[in-house]
Amino acid sequence: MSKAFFILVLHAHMPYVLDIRFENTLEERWLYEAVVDCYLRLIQTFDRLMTDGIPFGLTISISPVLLAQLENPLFIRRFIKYLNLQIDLTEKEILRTIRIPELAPLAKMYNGYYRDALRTFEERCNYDIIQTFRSFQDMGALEIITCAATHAYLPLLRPALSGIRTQVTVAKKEYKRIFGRTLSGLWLPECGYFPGLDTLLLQAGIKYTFLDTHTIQSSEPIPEYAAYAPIISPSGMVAFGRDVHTAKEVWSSMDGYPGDSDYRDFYRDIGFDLDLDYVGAYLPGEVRSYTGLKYYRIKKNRGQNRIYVPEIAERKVSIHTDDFLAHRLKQVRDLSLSMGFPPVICALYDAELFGHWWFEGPSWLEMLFRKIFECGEYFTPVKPSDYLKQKPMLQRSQPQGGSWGWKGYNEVWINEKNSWVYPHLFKAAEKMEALAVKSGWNVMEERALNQAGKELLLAQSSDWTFILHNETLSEYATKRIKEHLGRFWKLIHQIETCSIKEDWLCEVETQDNIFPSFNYKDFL
Amino acid sequence: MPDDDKAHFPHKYNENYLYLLEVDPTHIHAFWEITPDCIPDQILKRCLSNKKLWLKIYCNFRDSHRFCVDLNVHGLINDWFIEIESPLTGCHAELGYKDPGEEKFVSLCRSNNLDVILEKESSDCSIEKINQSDVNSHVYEEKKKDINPFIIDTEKEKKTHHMELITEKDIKDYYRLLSEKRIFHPGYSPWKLILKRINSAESLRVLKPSGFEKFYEQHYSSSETNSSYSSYWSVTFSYSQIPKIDKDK
Repeated sequence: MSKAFFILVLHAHMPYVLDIRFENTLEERWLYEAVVDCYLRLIQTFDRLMTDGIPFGLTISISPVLLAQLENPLFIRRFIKYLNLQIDLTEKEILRTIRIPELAPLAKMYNGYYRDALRTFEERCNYDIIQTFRSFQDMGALEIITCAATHAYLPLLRPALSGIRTQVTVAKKEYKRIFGRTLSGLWLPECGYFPGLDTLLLQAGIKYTFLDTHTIQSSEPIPEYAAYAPIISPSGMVAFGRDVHTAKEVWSSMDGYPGDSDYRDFYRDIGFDLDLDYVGAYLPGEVRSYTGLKYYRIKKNRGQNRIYVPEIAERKVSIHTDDFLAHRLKQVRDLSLSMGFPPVICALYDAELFGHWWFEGPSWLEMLFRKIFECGEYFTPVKPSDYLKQKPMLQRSQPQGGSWGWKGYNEVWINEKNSWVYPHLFKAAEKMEALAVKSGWNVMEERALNQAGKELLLAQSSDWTFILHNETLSEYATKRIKEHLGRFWKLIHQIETCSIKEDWLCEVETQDNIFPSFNYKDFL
Repeated sequence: MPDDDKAHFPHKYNENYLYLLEVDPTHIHAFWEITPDCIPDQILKRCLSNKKLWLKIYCNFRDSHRFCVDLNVHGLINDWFIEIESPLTGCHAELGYKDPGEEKFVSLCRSNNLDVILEKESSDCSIEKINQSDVNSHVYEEKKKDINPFIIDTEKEKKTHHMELITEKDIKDYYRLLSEKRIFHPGYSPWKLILKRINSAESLRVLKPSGFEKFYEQHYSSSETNSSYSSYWSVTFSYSQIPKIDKDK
């Protein structure tokens, strides 16, 4: 039986939520929670694996807009403040639960959790999460890639191709600036692909990407081995296909591991359970929302929430890693019979699933890599670039299009709730392109053009149309789109009427302080 | 920062435009804006109310069959989700009105071209295997001096690159790109545009860039866009020498 290749990709992304005008907003909390629950815990996991000499060969995609926030001094200051606030809350909880024996150990656990996060951030990372991830890459432990600049959903930017090219160009430039090497692979936001995108990516020097299962399977000619062997498009782009089984085992809300009733319930939080007088000071705007302190397990059917017991959850993690590996072994055996060469099993996940939505996720990952190392005669974790260095023979096939979103195509990002956004994005891109092609701008005008370009990039983020579709924070998403495009057109008006207000330009540059490598000519 | 940033968000652009986007293999989305002054007064009131605007969708099917669908749309609703037949491979659309009496379609704006995803698995089972490093000159690498997006290989002296520019906007944009990047200079025209009208008996036309603008004006009047597939052009762009041009100038 051939040894299979196992490519595990975690895609980390947060929309741009830092706002210099307001502190401790609900949206900024998303970022802090992702850092504590996911990114710092991944760093701790990688450290432990490396200390024990266990290779993990994992790939991480970190979006440029997330990178921009993590390196922003505003984030560093506010994140430390957030952690101290959380530590303060947990100490209050320790006192409150001192006579509640089933909750007291959990309160202490959370106290240790946030103290550990602060220590990792300050001492291990030296306040620089990005450089910590970079060090793992420099040691060869993992491969870091990135995605479109502001996570724009590229198939729906087709009428304004300059928008797509700029998203990719900025991604490439920011990656080079931050990681000091050339980007070879690109994560497509939502795995959104259309025929012709491969050519655009190759023009930017991107060699490979990842596509959803059905996108690979509908390629022309039909791929001989479905998603278990990467294909190469006629233009030369390599596409790795997502394995549907690893997706279902981890992602499925019904049957996936994270929904197990011994795992921590994300939704049952003291921010909703306890008196607002008690917990309000720790909530953004003193309005009920998640604090991160959760004491209960996921509800089983219609039963009551049971108290969370970390030891029970850890045992379940072990069971689930064994289950995952058993499925992979069966897969490898079945595939080896028909393929005649090592299959490639590609597991793609959002990074935030591990730790934030699925609290036990980082433990599951660590245990998985330990078990693969112990009994990994059937498959080996590999990074996509290392796989391609072996110069495998790939079937030439043209993917047709699709995404990993609901229903497999574009409907999440274009429907009756969000279709109004796109003409505005196209008109702005056309304007940007028209101005970028001109020359003779003075220094101030170039500054304004650069900032206008950044506002357009921020408006193109797929997060806003996604939120509008889900109707979770529709007002917020609408506000963000209109603010960014409003600033865009205000800047354009000032440029065209030679009336740039430098004070206001400075404010906007400080507020939307992203992508130092971006230049308005990237829209050409 | 002033709250009026949002106030600069435009609700209209006072231009005629039509955008098509794909939702999934069986639905497309059309969004447009038309300015009242592009429609004669006597028709305007009717157009903007009682379903007197027409959206013509020109569909391409997998077997090269082409078909035009006429949709009568309400003038005040400019945001449509349209169910289409599969296996459509691509489409574009025009929005306009019908001249009263003559019933001739008057086009107001034309959309982008849209490739549509095939829903069904391909019936092509051929297998060709290749190594990524062996992919030929169709692999695009970043060209620092590339100011012409259609150059494939700067090493070769003579190369012909066939492009299908099938809307007037494509050709106009392409011509603008050539002139604005000063790919040709007065007295120096290494470039030729060879245009062939698809589905027509018209033979090949060979044009130097200096003659293109006149040709464009002559052939891309609004009446031209009324015809269906005779407005499809195949453009072959050939050059004998790649001029060195400073991109920053």
